Parts: sequence; C-alpha cells; structure tokens
Amino acid sequence: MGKQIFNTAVICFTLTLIGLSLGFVLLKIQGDE
Amino acid sequence: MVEPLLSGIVLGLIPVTLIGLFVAAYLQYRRGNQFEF
Repeated sequence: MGKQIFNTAVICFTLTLIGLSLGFVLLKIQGDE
Repeated sequence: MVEPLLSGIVLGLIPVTLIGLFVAAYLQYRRGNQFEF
C-alpha cells in the first residue's frame, strides 16, 4: 500500500516537472522568436 | 478506505507546489517582481 502510494507520488512529481519544463521551454522559444 | 492513487497524486503535487512557490518568491526577491527568465 505505502509503496504503491510512493510510486504514484514519484510518477506524478516527475510528470509534473516534465510538463512544466516543456511549457517554459516552449514559452522561452516562442518569446525569443 | 485509503485510496492509493488519490493519495499518491496529492502527495506528489505537494512538493511541486512548494517548489513553485519558493522559486517564484526567489525570482521576486532577486529581481523585483519580474518573471523574465
């Protein structure tokens, strides 16, 4: 049970960081032209 | 009654939120309310 919660938390954390990084990179590229 | 998926999502988003708040605070502390990277 605890291990499953931990794995879900790690996956959620990682996917959120990847999404935010991709978003800000695209924003930067779009802004720089 | 504990939902592992819900608990994992909540516990995974808490550090992201804290990191985001502290990064935003540091950017304002360093450059004065400008979010230019």
